[in-house]
Amino acid sequence: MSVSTFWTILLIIHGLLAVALLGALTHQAMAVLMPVRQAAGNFVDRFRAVPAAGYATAVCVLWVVTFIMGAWIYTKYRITIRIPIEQAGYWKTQGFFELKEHVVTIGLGVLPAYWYFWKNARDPQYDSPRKWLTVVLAGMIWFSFIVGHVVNNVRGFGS
Amino acid sequence: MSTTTSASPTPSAAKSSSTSLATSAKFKTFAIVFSLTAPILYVLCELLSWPLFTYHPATNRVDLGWAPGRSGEGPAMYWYGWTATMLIGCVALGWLATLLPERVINKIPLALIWLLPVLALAPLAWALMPFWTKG
Repeated sequence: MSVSTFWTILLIIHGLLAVALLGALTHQAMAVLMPVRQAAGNFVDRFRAVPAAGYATAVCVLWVVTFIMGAWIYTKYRITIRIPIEQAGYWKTQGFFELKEHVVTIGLGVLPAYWYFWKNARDPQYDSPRKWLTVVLAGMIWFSFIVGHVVNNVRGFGS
Repeated sequence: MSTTTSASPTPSAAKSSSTSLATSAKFKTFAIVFSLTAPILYVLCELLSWPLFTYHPATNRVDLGWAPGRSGEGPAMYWYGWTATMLIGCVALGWLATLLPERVINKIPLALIWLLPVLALAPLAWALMPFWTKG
């Protein structure tokens, strides 16, 4: 296996993990923002009618594993991808990638409270922070996913 | 603000919420303080250059604390070091908070836990100004 293939496989795994995380957090965010009060009917109703509390541990594990994969790939990215991006003058693209790394690290930092709030979902004092923290984390993962996708389009590992 | 939601725990979720961590007052304190301090510490690490270590990916060299990129040895990476500083700081502060009476922790407005991560993005985006203004 060539070096390029190895890093490409890692990047694909990182991307697939991110998709799983995106899906789980989007379901949860929809469930807390637009709670279903009656039996699910159409697709949107069914999408938000998930047992959201059961996603919390999976979201934490997926966030950590995706983060570790991204951190691993980042060593290669810094040399092989970022330098050509800067040489090509895509400064804003690189700026958004830098912001993405900040966003995912801060997201990592709030996972303990996120997990605790969801594991105590019957306690009404946590309803509001649980709801808004879930929405913030969903926003973070959407932002990070889109930025990662755009950066890969600008200069993926195969280029 | 209450939420009547489909998020109401399922039997399996209710079962998992009875785990010792989820019911532990000390873990509650640790989790809340860890998550409150994470965005603050991370912003401080970035703005004040407090990486625990500096990684030089081209040579696989690691320096303790902040170190500049060396001529001919490629760029230096600080993000790993900022993350390490943040995590160690959060664990330390979270643990210290467990020594405080629970009534002190109960006075912390829980809205800060989702507000601080959002507010932290402003100084972090501002610190990236060279990227926004070039080209």
